[in-house]
Amino acid sequence: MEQLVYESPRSVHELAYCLRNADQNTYLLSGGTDLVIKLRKLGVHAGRIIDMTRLEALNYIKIEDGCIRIGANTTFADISRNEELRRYATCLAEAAAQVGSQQIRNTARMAGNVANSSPRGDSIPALLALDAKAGILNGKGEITYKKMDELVVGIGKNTLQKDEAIVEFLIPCPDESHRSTFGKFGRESHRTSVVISHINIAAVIILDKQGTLVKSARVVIGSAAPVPYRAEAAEKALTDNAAGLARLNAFVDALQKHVIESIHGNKRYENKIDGIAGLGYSVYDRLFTSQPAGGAE
Amino acid sequence: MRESLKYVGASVPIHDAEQKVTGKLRYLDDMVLPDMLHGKLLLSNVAHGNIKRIDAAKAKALPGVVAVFTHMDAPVNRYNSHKWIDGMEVVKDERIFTEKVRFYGDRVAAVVAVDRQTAERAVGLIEVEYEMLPAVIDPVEALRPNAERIHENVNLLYRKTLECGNVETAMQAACRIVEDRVETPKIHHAAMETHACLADVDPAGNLTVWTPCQVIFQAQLIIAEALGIPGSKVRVIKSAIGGSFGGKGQPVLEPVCAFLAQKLNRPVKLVMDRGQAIAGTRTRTKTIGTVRTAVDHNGMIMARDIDVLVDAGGYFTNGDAVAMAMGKKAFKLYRIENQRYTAAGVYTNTPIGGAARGYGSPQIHAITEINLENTARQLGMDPVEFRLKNLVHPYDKDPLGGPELGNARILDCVRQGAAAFNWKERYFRPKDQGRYVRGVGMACCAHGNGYYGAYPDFITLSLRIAADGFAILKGAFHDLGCGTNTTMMQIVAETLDMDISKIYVPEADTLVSPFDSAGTQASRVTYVCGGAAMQAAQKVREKMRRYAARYFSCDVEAVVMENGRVRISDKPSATLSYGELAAIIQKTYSDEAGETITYQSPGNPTSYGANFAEVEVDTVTGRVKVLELLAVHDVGKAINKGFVEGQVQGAVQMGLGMALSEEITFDTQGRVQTMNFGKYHVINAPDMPEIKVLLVEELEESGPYGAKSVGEVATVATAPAVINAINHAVGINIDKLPATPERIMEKMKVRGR
Ligand SMILES: Cc1cc2nc3c(=O)[nH]c(=O)nc-3n(C[C@H](O)[C@H](O)[C@H](O)COP(=O)(O)OP(=O)(O)OC[C@H]3O[C@@H](n4cnc5c(N)ncnc54)[C@H](O)[C@@H]3O)c2cc1C
Repeated sequence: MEQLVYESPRSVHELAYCLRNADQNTYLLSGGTDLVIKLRKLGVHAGRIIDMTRLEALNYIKIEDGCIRIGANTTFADISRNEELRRYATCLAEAAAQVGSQQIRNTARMAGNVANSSPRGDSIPALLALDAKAGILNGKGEITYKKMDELVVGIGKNTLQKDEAIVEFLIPCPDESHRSTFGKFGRESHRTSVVISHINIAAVIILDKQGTLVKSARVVIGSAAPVPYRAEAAEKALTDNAAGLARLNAFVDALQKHVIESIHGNKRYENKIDGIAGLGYSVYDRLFTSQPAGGAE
Repeated sequence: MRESLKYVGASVPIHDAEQKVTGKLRYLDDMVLPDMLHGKLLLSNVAHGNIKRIDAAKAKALPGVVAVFTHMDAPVNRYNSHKWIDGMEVVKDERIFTEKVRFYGDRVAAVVAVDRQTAERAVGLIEVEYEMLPAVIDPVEALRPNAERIHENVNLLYRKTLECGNVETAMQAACRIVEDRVETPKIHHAAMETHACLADVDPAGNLTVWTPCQVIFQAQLIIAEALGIPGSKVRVIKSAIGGSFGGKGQPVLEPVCAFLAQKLNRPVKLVMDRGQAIAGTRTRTKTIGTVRTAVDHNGMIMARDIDVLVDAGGYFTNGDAVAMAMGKKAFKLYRIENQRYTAAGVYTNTPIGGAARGYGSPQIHAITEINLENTARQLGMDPVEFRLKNLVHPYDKDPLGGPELGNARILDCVRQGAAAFNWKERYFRPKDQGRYVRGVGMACCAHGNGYYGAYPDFITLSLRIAADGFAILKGAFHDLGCGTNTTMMQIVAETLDMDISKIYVPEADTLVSPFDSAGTQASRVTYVCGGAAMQAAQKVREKMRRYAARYFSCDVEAVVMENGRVRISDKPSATLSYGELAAIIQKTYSDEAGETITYQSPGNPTSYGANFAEVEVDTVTGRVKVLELLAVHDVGKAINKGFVEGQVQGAVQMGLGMALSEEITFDTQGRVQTMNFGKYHVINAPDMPEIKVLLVEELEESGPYGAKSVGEVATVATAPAVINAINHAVGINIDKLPATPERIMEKMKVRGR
């Protein structure tokens, strides 16, 4: 008789125990907004489900030792509303606020988003731009840390082993004047909410003391290639250059060049080129013309 | 008629509001019968091919599977689901299961199992081998002489022309001719509830079918034709419905579900998932229209020539009816002495066209209203001024000799709308200089009120007041969520002057509802069925007055019926409640306080409307935000203001979808690419603009309390108004709907911004 066994660990210790005998047919369940659809599509009717949502110990957002820590059992709704994140990791709070609908955000977890490793996932570019790490627990109870580009490696592919679960995210807390923001567009639609990214971007800049020059920048383009990537030319365009139209145009040009390269002349993706320009202008606007949301205050 | 109205014009809540919001209303999928089985359809995943072999062995072996049916087991009878009344001549080309698939979504097989999960899994185990045929997706390609044939005959279904005056001569004399070619897409109705049906068989072999449908007698007729049995052996009961918009007009699942129950001699429920509803039911018909409008120096339209190609999809259904409906509307909006409308219909290997809110009106008016705005632009005229010069006036005749337009108030709509929208100032304001550019556009529209002049349009109703004081109105009413039953209650309450909560209007059931010729379609319900309800109530009222006069030995003129009571004007002691009088009529006179009438529609006036839209275009990405929309409607009289506004709000949402995002798309092999709401984008709540509704209530004499239709016409002007606004904003000419960001950018790049 086929059956789906359901386990709901209540502590990290119990989770490690559950992970110990994980196999090919073991599935970690967070909000289920990807997993349930996938299981139904693949017609999976047997196996083991480990429910991550009863782990109260993994439901937190806190700042500790110069780091923002987000537990794996934290919903996007909570991430999007958190004051500290909105201030120190604006791009992540903004990305979280734009995942699906309110109903989706109320149940979807960032851990699920990262582990699903879709090229269109919204939190991954933001985490990469923030230089975040994921804490990963294995069946032996050990925790290791991986950066986003070590974790997410292809379309739906990551380096997580069957007996591993993401338990938290670590984001270095900026101590200098910084700003960050996120933007996305869906495919061939004017929609502004409940859209799967057709192109998205996350950008983090560190400003000098005067708050005029960009000392360093991390700009990530998502949904344009199998995995989100650093747009180095765009980062360069921002860094150490004087404010003005020239910097803006150089930034947008660089973004477009990245995207053009990423889509390999595929006609179906051509509109990503206009898309990234639109996002580029808006992101630039938010980074430079609005009041800083970050540590400069 | 009393001077002041009590119920008509009020915003009475829909009769089942409480049941809906508390989750108590039982929709079809909530229904369970003892011994019930669950069916699941297998739809084709190729657009064109002959079925060579179907291997259902694995599906049948799955525990819980009761049976699998394919074209080899199904009746060979052909039918056309568009037919709703005996005597209609139609091309019959559809079967319960097909041996040749003609579009991605055609019905191949059904599994019946003890539960839905098993049925779904079993469907995935059926192996179908096709002899693949070239898929014809483009209707223009389908017309080519060497195009692959989709049915035995050529793909061209018909060619028809409507004409008044002399177009050729008038064109030659014109000072300017403006030509446009506009394409409108296949659209999914996107009702919240997908198609569903439940059928049962009694020991005598009679079928009972529950369905969220629009026309019970049509479902009965189609089931009978498909199964080759007398219609009277089929009872169809309309269930609660979670939206239709025309999508549940033609029976799709009814004949299939009835067949499954008949074969298995057990109740079977059949429910579609969203992908099946998108590909495998009906769609708004795709059209490609070319319009040439000839004008003189003063902006008077001298002639117009419209040529439309109608893409019926894989089966005929209403491929010709929708083309004719489109054509007729083109002659009812402007005073154009010389006009020609030519339509050709064609089969393609795409999902089937059918009824969809507006029945061709959204398509024809998108084509012509985009062209008219362009004409005004080319003339350097204000599009509102241009239209005001040419629009029809009240009581104009139809130039084709069709039903008269009635109290046509489109001029009032445009004048009042333009003032309320501050049109002139917004239209002529200097263009925005930055990245985001605003523009305004407007469009007018016309739609009918029933079938008078084209098909039989009558309804039989039975209204009776019981001794308990309640009134029951029996008729084949199908509330589609628009408030049909409540509207009837209001009309009866008003006419009889009685408490509306004591009026009961059950839903349609072929066994107990008197006959109705056409059901809930063609925007006929308020005008025709409402007219019938009013007449039935008047007759009951007169009958009660006669009996009251007899009972109290006075003149009929002295009998007053008011507020649920009968009294005699000069005899204060002589008073009875309606219930008491009904009891007396039964006991003393062996009669009932009721009447059964057959009401023939008195006409088919035209309902009009105008939409004014403001949009903002992101010139970097082509993204559009609709900032504001004003909808002005000539409704004669709003029986229920809340319903009318609700209809307009919802209709605008659909119109915005048609303008901006809704389109069923295909890959090169004809596979549907938009099989879920992640890919098929309706306009969602956060993107809805503020919608203002303005009603022109100038009373249509032939309608009940002056009312005419609004539910369909309300979706017509939105798409062209929005397209015109986009064109106005960035100076382009959108010729293909929906105007996606990509299409807008393409046009802007050509224009060289
Ligand atoms: C209507 C709708 C709209 C959506 N919109 C968006 C959108 O705008 N942007 C976007 O990025 N995504 C969107 N999604 C996708 C989805 O909601 C997100 O990817 C979400 O974050 C997944 O999280 P979850 O908690 O639901 O994960 P689940 O579905 O529970 O899991 C997803 C995957 O992660 C694995 N997993 C879960 N938890 C862990 C863990 N702790 N450690 C390791 N692996 C784990 C699961 O085994 C599974 O493989 C949408 C989905 C829907 C249905």
